Amino acid sequence: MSFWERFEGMDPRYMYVFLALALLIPVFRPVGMPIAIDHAFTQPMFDWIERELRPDSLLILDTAYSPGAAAELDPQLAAIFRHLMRRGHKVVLISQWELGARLGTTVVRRVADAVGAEYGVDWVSVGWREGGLPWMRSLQDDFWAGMGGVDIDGVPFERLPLMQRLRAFRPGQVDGIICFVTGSPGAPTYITWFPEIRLHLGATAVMVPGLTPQLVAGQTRSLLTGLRGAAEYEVLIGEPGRAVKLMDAQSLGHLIIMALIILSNIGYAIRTRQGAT
Amino acid sequence: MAVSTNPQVWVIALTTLAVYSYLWKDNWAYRVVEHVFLAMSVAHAVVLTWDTGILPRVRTDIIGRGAWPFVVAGVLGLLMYTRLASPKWSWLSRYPVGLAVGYGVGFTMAMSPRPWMIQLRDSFRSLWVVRGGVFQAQATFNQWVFVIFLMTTLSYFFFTVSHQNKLVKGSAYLGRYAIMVGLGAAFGNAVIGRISLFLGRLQFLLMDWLGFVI
Amino acid sequence: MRREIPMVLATVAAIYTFVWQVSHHAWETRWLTHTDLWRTFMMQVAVLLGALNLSRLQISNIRRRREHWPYSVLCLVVLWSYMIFGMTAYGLFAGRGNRHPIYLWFHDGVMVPAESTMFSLLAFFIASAAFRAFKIRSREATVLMVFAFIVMLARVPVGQAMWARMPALGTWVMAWPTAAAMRGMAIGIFLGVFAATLRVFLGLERRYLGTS
Repeated sequence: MSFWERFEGMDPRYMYVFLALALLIPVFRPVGMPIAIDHAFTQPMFDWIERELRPDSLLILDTAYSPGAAAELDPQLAAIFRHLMRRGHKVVLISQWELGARLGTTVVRRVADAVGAEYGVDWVSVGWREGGLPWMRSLQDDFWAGMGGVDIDGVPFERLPLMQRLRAFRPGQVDGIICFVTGSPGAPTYITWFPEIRLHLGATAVMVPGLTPQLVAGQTRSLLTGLRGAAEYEVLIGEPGRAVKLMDAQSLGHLIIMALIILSNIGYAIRTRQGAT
Repeated sequence: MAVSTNPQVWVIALTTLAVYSYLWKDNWAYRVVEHVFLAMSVAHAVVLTWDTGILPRVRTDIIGRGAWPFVVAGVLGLLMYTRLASPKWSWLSRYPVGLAVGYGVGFTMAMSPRPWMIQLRDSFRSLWVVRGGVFQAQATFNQWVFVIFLMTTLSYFFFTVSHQNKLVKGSAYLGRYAIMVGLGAAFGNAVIGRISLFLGRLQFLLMDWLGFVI
Repeated sequence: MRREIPMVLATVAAIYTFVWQVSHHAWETRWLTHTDLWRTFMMQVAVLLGALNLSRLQISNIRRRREHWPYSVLCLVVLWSYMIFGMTAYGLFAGRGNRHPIYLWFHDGVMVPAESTMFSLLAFFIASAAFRAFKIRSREATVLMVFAFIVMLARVPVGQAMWARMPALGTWVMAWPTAAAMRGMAIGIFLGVFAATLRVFLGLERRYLGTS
């Protein structure tokens, strides 16, 4: 058995251990390589919040994801929420995914406590409701009725001053939507039903190729790419966090995967040549 | 390094390690977490719907305003459960299913073409870009790339004209490469995403559980 | 009667939402809002269906003593105890059980990390697939791999360290050729989905009502 055959027949569990141990090094000791900002995908989100939104704007943030995507989207949500609070905007957190409601609220509450944002005044989390698209559509006419008049914790909207500003999910009352997506339902809800309101997306990396046509057509104005997008945003707001710290490990992970593909193809080429001769 | 003393952090860590144990081989710890997770996610959807959907609606609309159509809707919803009852009654579940499907189909028919029309409109590109009287070579090249990739991909899925036709055949052949470019980018992004997910867990184990300062 | 009336209901509902959605009058009268809420409530009432279905499956596993049936017992116990606790923690009609500290403790302590970790297993499977499956056997596969490498390198700092313009190249690949190819594929998918919807709208597709 040749080296290459042994390599390909290797127990994958050795590979798992190698990958895990290799990634430990840059997580412990990040080099801090510079991170370039993507001017087509990431920068427009920052510019919009920093320069275009009028002060005291009301934005809907949709955490349309589950814990499976949290590693990529939680850092995006944290960085964007921090930026929004810094600029004095208001946020209503909603979720098209039932698990995303509590997940997003936990992340935002942590940041809100750190920056001194007050619940009910600066931000509110209304959560998720069973009902799919008709539920989301009903919010266009009557947000309070569609949500049953209570927030994620059952607190009546009457007791939350911010909710007095949001009676219908329409332009004029809502100045923008930022949706964090990992699948369906997600971006199509807003692209189809809320086209009059400016949409920005934060997506898991896997989703990005499928959403790029929407970005190109202007249906969404920006598209943050997974953990990389979060790291770029942390750099943009000048507060490098967990995402930035992981980018060196991300580099090594990619190099390992590429090396594996190259090595296995070298082996394949050698074996094919030997077979031919 | 200060290992966490928070019991919840320990439960999270043990849950994480139990799932990773599957990489070595299928075992009881992984199966326990798998079944507990499945049960809890289904239960969570019910609890959330009860607390934030059904109860507020009953309180404010049915009891508060006497809005009887909600009672009718509720009864229709209850008919769904006949699906699990004897076959003698399961046909009753077709009423709410028919209503729900029809309701969604009408919306889709009315609204779903619009975003695609916008995409189609965006696909009509200027193939000779001039800005301020100056020819833009890079922009022109990009537009050509876009249009060629789009048209060849479409022709790969276009069966109205036989693929024996030389033009369609050639275009579909190029389309296969265009699709590979798209799928290659998708694969690249998939790697980014998967590594990120693992790094997220690794960070938790090292920082939140084992207390390393990174 | 058993199939025809549901069919009629589906058609009436479809025509209703279609016409109302495109009518300004409907927006003014807000009729759709009312029916949206009724429809949403109907689905909410049926939410227990998932739990009942899962229970039925697990009970069947236990009865037939299928492989790993003890885990089905665990699944049932957790399902109903977590659900009943969540619904009654502060009283059945309090509507606050989902934020009871014990309920949240298990939500954050077990459910959230379990799902995150399960998804992260894919990092290892992709590594394993990388050296077993990704063979460049054709020109198409070569193109796929080349563009995958460009995107992978462009998205990490080491790519930028290798070549300063790598991130820009990655953005170009995503914004031009990838966007165009993805749009071509998506248009095909949309046409398929729309045709399927049209079949339901016209009453040609009835399988959603199940078999009689």
